[in-house]
Amino acid sequence: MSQIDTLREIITSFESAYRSTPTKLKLLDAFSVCALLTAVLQFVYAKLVGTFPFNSFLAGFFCCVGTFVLTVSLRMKVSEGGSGSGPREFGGYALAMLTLFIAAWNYVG
Amino acid sequence: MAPASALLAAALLCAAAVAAAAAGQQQRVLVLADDPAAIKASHSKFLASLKQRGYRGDVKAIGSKGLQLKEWDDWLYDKLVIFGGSKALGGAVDVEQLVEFVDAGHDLLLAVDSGVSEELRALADQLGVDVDASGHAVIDHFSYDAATGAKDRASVLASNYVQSEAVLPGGLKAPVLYRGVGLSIAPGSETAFAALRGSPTAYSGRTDAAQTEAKLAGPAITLVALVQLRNNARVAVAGSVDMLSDAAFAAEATDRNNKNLGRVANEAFCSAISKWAFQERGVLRASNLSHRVVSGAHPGAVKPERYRINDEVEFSVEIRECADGACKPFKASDVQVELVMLDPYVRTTLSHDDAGRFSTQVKVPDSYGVFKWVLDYRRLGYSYIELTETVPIRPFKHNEYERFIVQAYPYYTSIASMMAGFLAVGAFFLWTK
Repeated sequence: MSQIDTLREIITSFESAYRSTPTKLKLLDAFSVCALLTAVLQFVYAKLVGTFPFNSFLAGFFCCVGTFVLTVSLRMKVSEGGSGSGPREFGGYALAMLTLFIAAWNYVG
Repeated sequence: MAPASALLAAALLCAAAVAAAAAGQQQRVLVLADDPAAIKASHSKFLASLKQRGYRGDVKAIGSKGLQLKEWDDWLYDKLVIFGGSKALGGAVDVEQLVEFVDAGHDLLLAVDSGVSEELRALADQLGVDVDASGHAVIDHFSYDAATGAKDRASVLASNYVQSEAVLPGGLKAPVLYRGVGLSIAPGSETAFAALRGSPTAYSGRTDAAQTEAKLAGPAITLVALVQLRNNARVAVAGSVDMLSDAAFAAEATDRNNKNLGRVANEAFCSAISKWAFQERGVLRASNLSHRVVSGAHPGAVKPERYRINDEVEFSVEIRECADGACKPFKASDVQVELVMLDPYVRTTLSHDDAGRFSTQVKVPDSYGVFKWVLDYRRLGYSYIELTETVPIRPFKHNEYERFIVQAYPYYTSIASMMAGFLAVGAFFLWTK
């Protein structure tokens, strides 16, 4: 009983703390979750229909995983413990994302 | 004007062809013997048969001073017959030159006796045939000719001949009368084979002394050896000069119970081995090697510069068998071709259409590199066919892969959605607050 209570307590405190999180960070969280879900969806799809255009699968899957990783690292930089919150960090993120997209489109065939 | 010149050209071509045919038929043969006059008398039928088959040439003494096989770089003869006795080679001819003669693609018929000179023994040895020790003869106490060998049992009746349509089409109807020395071929020899072997009761020994063991016995004794060298030059080595003589050609065999077995097969046998040795039989000619793409990168391309991996291709070659002056389509079900890059990636049997065209259809391997077609056909009694044709195999080009595959649309969509998401998030990130 007490364990469930503790869990509930954790969740409520997390919710209240998360409410005070800036919208920017919430947005980044939403995007990274989205990317992760897309990756999982593609994995399930590939399991279902087979791996025929394997390069396409790899491109799609790793594009999503890459997006997730990059977005999380951007969030780590701009959150409170991070080094900053300005357009400078976003510049690095944008450059990395563009490189990722170029690679993904090239490989998707 | 035009028809007249065409006619003239045709006439010239005909004349040239006739001249070439005549030159081709008139091959020069040199017969060497210890005593030319004696050989001309004793072996007249054999020599006449050579002449009748279109060879011209002469009989010379093996030891004569002016003997010459080669003038500068020109060989004076195409074929050589040696009735080997004890006399040494004379003139400019030595064992080395005889080997060179064969290496140059010429053919040799060597008949030896037990008292043959060391030089000719060395020659036979170089060609892969070992002549038994001097003074030895092939003896058979069961299958001997009673008329000529009752005393020493050294005139044997041999009927253990090679089963090969290329060498002895139709086989022999009677035994071969053989009086001479035993030969042996190294086991595992890739070039030499026996055209005539001893019977199971034959052995090689001295006729003048009792003997308790024999080094050579039974079918291990080769009486007549045929050698086809790697350059397709042919050599026949017979352990008996006598078997080619008129007397042997005309002899009637009598078995040990004094029963007459009829005319011996010496004439047919000697004719067959000399025909084989002089490239009149068992010669395979391959021509029109071709290969084309059936389906793949360039369907229908004949002898393309290269294939693409997984192309479906057809390989074909024409093989004709030449015997007794006529070439006819070769028929065999064991001709194979390989597609090799260090190792054979594909090995397949060719099928033929009864008109001499051997072909097969194969799928090129799924790996790229410098490949070659290899056809290496070696069968007893037939000349070797060795053909190679290099055709590199390339991988798909970047633009040859299939695009916009329906199955891959979710993947395309996912990347597009990630880009859209990035743009939206970026705009919001930069322009809020």
